[in-house]
Amino acid sequence: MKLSQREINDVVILEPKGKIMGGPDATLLHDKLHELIKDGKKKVIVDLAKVDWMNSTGLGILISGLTTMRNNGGELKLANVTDKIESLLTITKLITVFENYDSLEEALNSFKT
Amino acid sequence: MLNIILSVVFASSGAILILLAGIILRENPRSRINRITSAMLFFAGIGPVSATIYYALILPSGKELSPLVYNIFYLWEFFFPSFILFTAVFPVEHRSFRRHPKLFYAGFIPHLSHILLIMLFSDPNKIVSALTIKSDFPVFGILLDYFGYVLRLVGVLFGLILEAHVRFFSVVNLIYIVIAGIFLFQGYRSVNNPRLKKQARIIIFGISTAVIFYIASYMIPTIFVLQFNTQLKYLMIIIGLVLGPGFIAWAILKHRFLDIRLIVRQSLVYSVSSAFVIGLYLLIIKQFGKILTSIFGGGIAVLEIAVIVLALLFFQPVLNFVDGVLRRLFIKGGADFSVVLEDFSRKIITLLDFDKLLKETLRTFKDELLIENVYFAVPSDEGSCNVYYADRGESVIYKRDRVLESFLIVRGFNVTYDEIPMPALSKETRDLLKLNDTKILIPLINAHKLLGYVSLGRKASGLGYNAEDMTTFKVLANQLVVAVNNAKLYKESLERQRLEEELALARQIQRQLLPKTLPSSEKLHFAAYSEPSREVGGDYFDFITTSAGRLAMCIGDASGKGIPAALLIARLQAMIHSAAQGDLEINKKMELINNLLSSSGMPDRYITFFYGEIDIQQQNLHYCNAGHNYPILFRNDGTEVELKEGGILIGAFENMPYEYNSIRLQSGDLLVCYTDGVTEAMNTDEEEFGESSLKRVIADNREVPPGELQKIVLGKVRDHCDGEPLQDDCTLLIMKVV
Repeated sequence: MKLSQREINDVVILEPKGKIMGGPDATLLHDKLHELIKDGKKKVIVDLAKVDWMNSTGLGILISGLTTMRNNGGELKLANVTDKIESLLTITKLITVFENYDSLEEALNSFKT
Repeated sequence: MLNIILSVVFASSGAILILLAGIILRENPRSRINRITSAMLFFAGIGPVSATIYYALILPSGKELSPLVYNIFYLWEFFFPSFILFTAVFPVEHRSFRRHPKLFYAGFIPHLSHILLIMLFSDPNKIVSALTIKSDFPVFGILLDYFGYVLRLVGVLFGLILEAHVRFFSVVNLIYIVIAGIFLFQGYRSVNNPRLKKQARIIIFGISTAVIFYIASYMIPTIFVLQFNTQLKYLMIIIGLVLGPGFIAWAILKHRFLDIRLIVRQSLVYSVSSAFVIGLYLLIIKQFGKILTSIFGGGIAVLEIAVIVLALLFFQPVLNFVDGVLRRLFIKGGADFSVVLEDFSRKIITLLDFDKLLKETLRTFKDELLIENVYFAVPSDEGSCNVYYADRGESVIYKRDRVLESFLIVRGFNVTYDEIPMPALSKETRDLLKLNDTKILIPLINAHKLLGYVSLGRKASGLGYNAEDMTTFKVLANQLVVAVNNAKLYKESLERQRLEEELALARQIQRQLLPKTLPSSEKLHFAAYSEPSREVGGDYFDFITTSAGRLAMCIGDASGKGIPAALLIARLQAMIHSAAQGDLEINKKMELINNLLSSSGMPDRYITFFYGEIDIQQQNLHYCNAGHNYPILFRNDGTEVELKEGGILIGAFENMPYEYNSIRLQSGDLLVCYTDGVTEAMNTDEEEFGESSLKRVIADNREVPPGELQKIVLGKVRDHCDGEPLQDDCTLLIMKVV
C-alpha cells in the first residue's frame, strides 16, 4: 500500500493505493493519523478509489483508524469505495459505523454541514 | 676441583645474568621496568663475573692484584639500590615510588660514594694525610689550623668507614634487602591476576633465595666476624647463584616475564643449550686427550684431531636434542602465544552458546594474555550496545555509536587508541573508552557487518603492545568471527526449534478447543471441516447443547492469522460456552460477548461470528450474524436464503445493537456455513474460488450426504488452487435436515 495525502478546506484526504493488508500498512496509517491528530487535524477522508483489495487485517486497519479519530474528537469518512470493498463492509455491517460516500465531493460536502 | 666448579658456576651465572640484562633492555628500552630490571641483573652479574676473574685467573697465577682493579669489583654492590628500585616497580608500582621517585634513585648515593671513596683512597691513611693542611701563615694560621682540625676529624671518620667499609656496607646492604623485601611483599599482595601472580612468585622466589643464600654465606659472617666452614659457604654461594638467574630465566621463558618476544626467548634457549653442549664437548675432548696421551704417549696430534672431528660430527644432533628438550620444557606453555591461540581456538570451536563464547574470550584476554579492563561490545538491532566486562562479569547497556562502528568497519583490524576519532564519537562512547583506559579496539567483522568489538586496556605487566601482540589479536579476531557466527546460527536454529515446538503444542491445544465429535441427531446430519493455513489459525466452529435443550452451532473468523488470531478465538470460545447456557435471547448473548471482547481496546482485533440455536423439536433455527460471511440455506424448493440478520462484527465497537431472526427448517434443507478461506482461496492467477462457485457445487450435489458433500466442495477448492498452499484458514460446516 502507498499512502498519499492532500488537504482541501481543513479536510485531510488520504489516498491509499494498492492492497491494504497487514504488517507495515497498519503502522503507516496509524502513524499518519496520530500525526494528523497532533497537528490538530480532525477531519479525514480515506479515498479508497485506488484500493482494489483488502483482507481482514486491512479492514482492521480502517476500524482502528476510525476509532482513533473518534476517540480524539475527529471523524474519518470513506469515499469511492469499490464494489468489492463495499460488499465486505456490508457483510460485516461495518457500513453502519463508517460514513461512506460515492464520491470525494460528497464526502467533502458532508463535512461542511 | 672446588675452584673449577666455582669458576664454572660463577662464570655461567654471571654470563646468564648479563645476557638476560641485555635481552631485557633490548626488548623494550623505552619501558622503565625493562631498564630497571636490566640494570639490576647487570649489577648482579658483575658479582659472579668478578669472582670468576678472581678464582680462574688471578688466584691460580698467584699474583697480587692492584687495589684499584680489585676495588672495581665493588661495582656489583649497585645491585642493592637497583634491587630496591626493581621492587618499587615490580610486580606493581609501589605508591611511595609514585610519590617520591627521586628518593629511590638517591639510594644509589651511598654506594656511589663508597666506590668513589675506596677507589680514590684505597688506603685509609691517604685520606688523613690529604686532609692535613700545613700552614705557615701567622694571620690565617689559627683559622686554617682550626679548619684543619675539622678536616682531620672528617678524614678520621672516613678512614674509620674505609677501615671497616666491608662490614659497614654489609650492614647497609642488609638494610636495603630488608626494605626491598617489604616492597616485594606489599607489591605481591596487591596483585590479583593469577597469572601475573605466578610470574611474580617465581621472580620473587628466585631473587629471594639467591639473596638469602648470599646473606647467610657472606653478610652474616662478615658483619659478626664469624668463622665459617669454607666448603659450606661456597656451596651456599653456588646454590644462590644458580637459583637466582635460573628462576628469572624460567619466568621469562615459561611465563613470558616482561613480555619478551617468542623469537628472543627461543634464541635464549638456543644460546643456553649451545653453551651447555660446547662446555660438555670441551670437557670430553680434554678428558679424551688425557686418556689418549696416557695410552699412546704425548704428541699424537692426529688422534686428537680425529677425536675433535668425531665430536663435531655429533655436535649438531646433540645440540638439536638439547635445544628441543629445553624448548619443550620452557617455550611450550602459557607463555607462548601460539599455544594460547591453539587452546583458544580449540575451545571456542565447540562453544555454540554465545554467553559461554563471550566468557571464554574475555577470560583468554584477561587471564592468558594478561590484559586489564577488557570488554566485549555487541551492538544489537534495537539501537543498543551490550558491553560485557571481563573483570566485573556483568554487562551494561549503552547506546550504539554508529560513528565508531563505521570507523571500525572501514579500518577492519586492530585500532590503537591514537587512531580512534574521539571528537566524532558520542560523549557516552568517549567516556566508556576513557574509563576503561582503552588502548586497542579489535573489531569483529563479517561480510562488512560489525558483529562486535573487543576493547583492551593496558597490559597487567604495564608494558606496551608489540608487533607480536598485534598479530596474535588479528588471528584471535578471525577465529572469533567464525565462532560468533556459529553461535548465532546455532542460537537461531534453537530458537526456531523452540518456536516450532511451542506452535505444535498450540496447535494441539487449539484442536482440543474444536468439538471432537459432531452432534448426532436423527433429524439433522452434520459435517464439519477446519484447517488453519499456519500451525494455528483464527477460524472457529462449535456445537453446544444448551441448558434449554437447544443445539447451538456457530462459526467465526478472527482478523489476522496465526497466534494473535488463535488467542482471540480462545477468548471467544470460553465466552460462548458460558453465554450459550444462559437464558438470554441470542441477540443479547451476542451483545454481551461483543462488549466483553471489545473492552480490550484493540478495535482491529475483531471476529466475524455467526451464532445459531436450533430447537430440534420445533425445527426452528434462531440466529444472529455478527458480520460473518452469510451462511446459505439451500431450501428444498431450490431457493437460497442468505442468513444476514444480526449486527456488526464483534470485538471492535462497544455497545452495538444486535437483532436476531428465526427461520423454520424443512426436510431437505441444507445449511452451509463457511469462512472466507473457502471462497477466497486463490489460484496462481490470483483468481478466487468465489461464492458463485461454492453455490454451484452445492446445488449440483445437494442430494449427497453432508460428509460426502463437504469432501466434494473441498476437492473443488483444491482443484481451483492447483496445488497452491492455503492462503487463509479454511472452515466449512454443512447441516442437512433429514
